[in-house]
Amino acid sequence: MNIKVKNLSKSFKTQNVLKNLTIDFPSNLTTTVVGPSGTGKSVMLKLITGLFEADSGSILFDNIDFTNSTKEVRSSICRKIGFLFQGAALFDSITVLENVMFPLIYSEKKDLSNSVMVERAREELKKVDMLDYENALPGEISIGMRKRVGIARAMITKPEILLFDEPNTGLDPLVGQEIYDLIKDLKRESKFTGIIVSHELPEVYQVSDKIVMLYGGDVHFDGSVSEFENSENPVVKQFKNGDIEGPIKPNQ
Amino acid sequence: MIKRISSLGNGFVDYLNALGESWVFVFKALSEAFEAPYEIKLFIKQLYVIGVQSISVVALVGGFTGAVLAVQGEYTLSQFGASAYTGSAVALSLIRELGPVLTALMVNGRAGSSMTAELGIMKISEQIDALKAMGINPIHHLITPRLLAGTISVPLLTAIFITVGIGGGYLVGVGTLDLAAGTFISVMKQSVTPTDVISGLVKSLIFGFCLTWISCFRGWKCGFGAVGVNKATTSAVVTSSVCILVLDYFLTAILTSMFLN
Ligand SMILES: Nc1ncnc2c1ncn2[C@@H]1O[C@H](COP(=O)(O)OP(=O)(O)O)[C@@H](O)[C@H]1O
Ligand SMILES: [Mg+2]
Repeated sequence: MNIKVKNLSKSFKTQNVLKNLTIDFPSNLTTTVVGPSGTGKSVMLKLITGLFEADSGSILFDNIDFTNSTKEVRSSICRKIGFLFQGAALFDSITVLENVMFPLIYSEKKDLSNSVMVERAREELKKVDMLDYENALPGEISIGMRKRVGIARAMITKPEILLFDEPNTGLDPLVGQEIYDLIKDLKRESKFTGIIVSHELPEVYQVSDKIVMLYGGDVHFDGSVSEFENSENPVVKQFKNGDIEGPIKPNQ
Repeated sequence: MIKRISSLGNGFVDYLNALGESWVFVFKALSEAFEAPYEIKLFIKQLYVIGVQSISVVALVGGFTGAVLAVQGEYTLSQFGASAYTGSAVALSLIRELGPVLTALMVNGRAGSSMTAELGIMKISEQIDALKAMGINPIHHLITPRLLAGTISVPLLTAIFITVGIGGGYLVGVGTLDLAAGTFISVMKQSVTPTDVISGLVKSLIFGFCLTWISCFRGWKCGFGAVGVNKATTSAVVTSSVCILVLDYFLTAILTSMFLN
């Protein structure tokens, strides 16, 4: 499924977070959106899933306009999206297994029997190597494990679109690499349009087919990984090198 | 000076905004009760958390309240040579006033605050966003079951409070104050009327509804971080407690005048 964001704007009170954003997320490829903290990367993901309403602009899924669709069309699109939240956002009063089953239990098709749902959830847990922890509560496992369970929960509906909000922030390099390996496995085994939000350079290149750089609410780069690596754009260069001096001002 | 007045004005506008939002919020939660799928399991879970888990503390407080009422009632009434009426004093105070109010305050402290904290943490850890992203309406899933369970639990717990309270009053009155057992019960039966029971019931229903409403709304509107959860919880407990006591006065006035006519 192809996703197009067109002239998207969003502000909170007086703060203009996204200004006229236009990005193309090609079908079955993974696009990584990079940019300094606070530039509105998470806000963009939440606009795409309908968690926020855009002030203006449109979001197209295979040319169906999400922003002007009926509730039914919107929720049918929502069900095709898997979302890995920054802190995994597992429900902390239920077990790991129940978390993974959750989208099935509360999805529209209620015809699955409990044992089938358990079976499916175990399959997904096995893929992320968390089967041993199926009876643990989310509070009892580490953040890296929670993110793996979050991936299993996102994958159980076999989504056509997968969104990852900073899959590696807050993880040590080893656990971070495990998550990247997992994303690579997912890309190999199933077809989906991926959007990853991250500021982990250069690690995130390994799972990216395309890079978009946001800064100050605008797109400053849109191209392939190798183009990004070789880009001489001053904003891109400063961000890649982590320079203090340059066009990017902190806390903007 | 002008700045101060304008900030006062802004504060007032914010307050009115929140008040309006809280009505929209509770209206949505109530209308969701009639929308399929009916989350019976979630409702029963909340009945358990709010109701069943409060039984022991409500019974304990009820028992001692009844006992104190017997001692105080007997002392006051004996000054007029009317200590035989201690049974009526205990029962009427519990049914009309102390049962509904103290039960609501206990449930507020025990379940209301934890509801606010739980919803607040769910909000700041993006669990509510996760529900929405799965196409699940979080009001339907989280708020409606709590609101219904809270509204139903408080009257039931009040009944337990009153029953145990009368038992406590009886034990103290008959056991240590040497009141006649038969008289204690018979004056009680004579003086308590259906309207007393109805007004106690109406009060406790309204208290239950309001305290769950306030607790849920504060959690729902919780600010960021641990500070946000902390603030929301404190404010929910204080607001609900004050509401219960203020409402109690008005409800007593309204119900009394209604039944007297
Ligand atoms: N719900 C919200 N209400 C008000 N402001 C918000 C909200 N969510 C995000 N913002 C603001 O939008 C800006 C971008 O945030 P975010 O998208 O989280 O940045 P990041 O690129 O680090 O993910 C921040 O300045 C933040 O304060
Ligand atoms: Mg973010």
